[in-house]
Amino acid sequence: MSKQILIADDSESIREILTFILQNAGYQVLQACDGNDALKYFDGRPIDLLLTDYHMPHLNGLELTVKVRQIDHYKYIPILVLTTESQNEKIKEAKDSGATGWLTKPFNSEKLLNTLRKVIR
Amino acid sequence: MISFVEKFKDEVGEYFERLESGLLLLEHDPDNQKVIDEIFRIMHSLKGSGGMFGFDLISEVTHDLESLYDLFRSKTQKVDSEVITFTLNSIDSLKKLMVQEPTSDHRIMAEQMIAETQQQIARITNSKYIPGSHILLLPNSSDQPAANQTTYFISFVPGENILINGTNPLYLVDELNALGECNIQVSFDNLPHLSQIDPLKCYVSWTLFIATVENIETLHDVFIFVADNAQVQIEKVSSENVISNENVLAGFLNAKFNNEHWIPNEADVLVSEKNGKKLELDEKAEAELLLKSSADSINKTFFAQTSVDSIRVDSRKIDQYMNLVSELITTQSRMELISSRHKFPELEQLTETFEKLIIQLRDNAFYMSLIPIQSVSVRFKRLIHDLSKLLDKEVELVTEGMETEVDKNIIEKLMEPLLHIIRNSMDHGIENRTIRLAKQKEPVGKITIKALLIGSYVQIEIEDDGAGLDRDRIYEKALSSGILSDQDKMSDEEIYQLIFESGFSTSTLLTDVSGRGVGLDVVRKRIQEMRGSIKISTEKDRFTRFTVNLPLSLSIIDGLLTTIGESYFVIPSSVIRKIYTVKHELLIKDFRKEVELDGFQLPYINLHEVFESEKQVPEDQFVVVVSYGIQLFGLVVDEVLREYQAVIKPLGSMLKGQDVFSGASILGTGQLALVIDTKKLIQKYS
Amino acid sequence: MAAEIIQGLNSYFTFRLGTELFAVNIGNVTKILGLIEITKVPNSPRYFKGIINLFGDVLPVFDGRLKFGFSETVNTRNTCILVLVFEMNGQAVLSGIIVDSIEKVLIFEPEQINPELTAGNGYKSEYIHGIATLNDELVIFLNIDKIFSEDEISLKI
Repeated sequence: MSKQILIADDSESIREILTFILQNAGYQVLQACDGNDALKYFDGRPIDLLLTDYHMPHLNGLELTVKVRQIDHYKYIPILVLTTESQNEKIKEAKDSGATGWLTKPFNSEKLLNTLRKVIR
Repeated sequence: MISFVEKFKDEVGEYFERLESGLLLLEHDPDNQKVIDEIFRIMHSLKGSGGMFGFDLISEVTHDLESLYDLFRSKTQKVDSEVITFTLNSIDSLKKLMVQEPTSDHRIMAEQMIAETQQQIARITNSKYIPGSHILLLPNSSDQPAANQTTYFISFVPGENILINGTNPLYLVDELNALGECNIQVSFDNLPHLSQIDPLKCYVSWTLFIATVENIETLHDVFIFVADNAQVQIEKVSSENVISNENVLAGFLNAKFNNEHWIPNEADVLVSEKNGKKLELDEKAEAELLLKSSADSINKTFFAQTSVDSIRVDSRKIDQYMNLVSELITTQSRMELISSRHKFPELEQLTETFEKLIIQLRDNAFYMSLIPIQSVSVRFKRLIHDLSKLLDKEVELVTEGMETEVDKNIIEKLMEPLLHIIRNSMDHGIENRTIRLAKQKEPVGKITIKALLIGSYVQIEIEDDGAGLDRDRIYEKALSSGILSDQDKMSDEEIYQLIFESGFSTSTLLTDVSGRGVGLDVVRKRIQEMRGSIKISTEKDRFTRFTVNLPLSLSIIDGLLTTIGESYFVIPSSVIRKIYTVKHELLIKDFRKEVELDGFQLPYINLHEVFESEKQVPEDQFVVVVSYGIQLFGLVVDEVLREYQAVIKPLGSMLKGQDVFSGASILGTGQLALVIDTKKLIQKYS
Repeated sequence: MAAEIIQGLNSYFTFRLGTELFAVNIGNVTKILGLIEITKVPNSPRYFKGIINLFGDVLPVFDGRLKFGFSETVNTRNTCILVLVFEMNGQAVLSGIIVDSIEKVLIFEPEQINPELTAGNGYKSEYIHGIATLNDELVIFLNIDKIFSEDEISLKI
């Protein structure tokens, strides 16, 4: 079963490169350009992983995580937060919001897929 | 990669513009929090993505600029005109630093910018600037990994609530398994009585030994996401691979159990003591071997040069091989059936091993029958070459991903439809030079063929940069030919798909090339016969793109074995999302044919009804949730038996008239199970 | 599946549906199977009984009695599946047909088979390729290719 990943990031180039890497790895990919846009995808369709940027206009990655964790159907899906900060403080914030893990930018496809392996197969 | 970099550059250009206009706004309204937030976010994005696209200096420089604006964001400090002027100047410098291969001049410029930014931060926070506190990182020289394996002991006790945030601890254990040779023990000690089990809690823990070349940090990294929600203990057992030495492992566990201190070197002593005699012998033997093998290696290098790394095999032999593997799978499932009936542990174990080997054999056989699309691309080229002469159109062919490998049977069946699409693009899509010039397009048209692997599907895109489809003309044509009535509400997207309907051709002129009876409806039919799909997207005067999706193999799929009435049915795993149980009476009550699952309304089809089974419907039925395009659909079956590897046998030409079943599979009992094409089924019965 | 049609033989295989005696050329018969469990294909016409596993391949099975307009009779120990091979669109195709009983293999010279149909036998004329008499009984010679070519079209499930 091919897994479906939702990417939420306000940078188109990041979305594109993520999509490229993920599709090549055999995943199906959905794209959202900010938190609010991402929420629209949580309408019952299968989403096996949310990959969200930390800083986004409208609804940021942490606020999005909190919201997703409130939707029954998606309560327990893995969520990875993309961030440039590797400080414990930010990571703790992400974990407290309910994120499964995080991924620090910049990353290459190997790092991305290795991190993904921790939360999705 | 190029296209991403180009996109990124465009995006950065846009960022710079937004930064500039934002800064100019700030000049008059320095407290505008929205603008400050945006500047911070842009700096943040530049920092993060700069490095990803190879613009390392951008990343380095914006790191401190981001910190600077973080100060204003938290409202502790105020923006002043000096900061604004400084930032504007920085943007000019950033533009110059948008290079992937910086020269030393670039580096100096970057260092200077960083120093200046830090001075700004120091000035604003009234602290002292310490020069050189930021040093540009030099690219790391890659460390040589130690070739020696070390054995570690790992205890992983996940917290009860670890599942809540989407963590699957099994993946972590599996990740360790990929890092080296493992000896894994699962502990169910904390598992409560069945009646007290909370399915949302994790009661399982793991202890394992791993022999790996990785260092202890890498092992700790595996658990990085669960550090706060699990007890992870990693200890060195020995500085060599002792994974198969049970004495050492037991010794370690014993020491641990008795709270004794374990010194890894002791283990090594233990190893060498135990194997002392053997070691000496081995050394002698090794020396002899070394002498002998030098002669061997000369032979080997010689043969290595003359040997070939691929051989040609008659495709009929491959077919035969595939058939035998299919037979083997069928036989194996019969064996599994017998084994499960007799409950004979040794046989069961053997059957399991057998199954694993067969799956490997299947995959191996499967990859053998794949050939790259490249092998037929010359036919595309030839066709385009011939047609461009015939139609007097200049066309350039661009191919991507031609190395993608597909089952040769699929390629053979796919050729005709693909060639037809190309014909169509050449004939109706690409304009001639005069028209293209009038439209201010490149005088030479372009057809792009892209192949891409997506999971167990291969996607082939054929795109031309021609005239695109005329939505209105298709719509009118559909109305006049009765395919549509004017009450039908359709999106543009849906209207374009109408060209696949039979009896549909908008071309007013019948040309020699693609207007001869065989239409796109035949193309779609052929592709659907291979359990594939085709879609079209287009934009007027810009492009028309056909996207074909096909399964990688026609003959073997992973599926779920279910029963409906007395018969067996297989649903392909690739479309299954979830399985629920549901009371049959709930389904009867609902006349809208929707069922509520996990708080969502899901349309469903009760296969017991539509297949007109005469057997009594069981009280509890199963809803197999399958994806249908982007939607979800429930297929209600009587019973879900197990996962099942189905060797699909064609139903034969007598049953061509139906398309709900893509084939049948022979079960271990010799009985047949029909394989459901969920898409066709839903189309037909919903 | 490996199927071969041997042509030009004068031997005919005879079988019964209801009370009538039918014949097909021996070249069209590949196997006789006892009545085994047949997997139903949902929503197919009544005369199409389903599919069976024939040595690893899928074989469609028709009910000869229903196909030729007899009423469905009870299965007896004589009931069996006749596996026929015939040509369809240039390809050899296998198909099973349930018959009430099989009789013997008989030899008919071409001149013994009368292509003129006696009126009132009630069968579609294109199914039948001729009629002969044997011990005061009529033998109906079937045109296998025609019978099944129609099914391909009508089996729109």
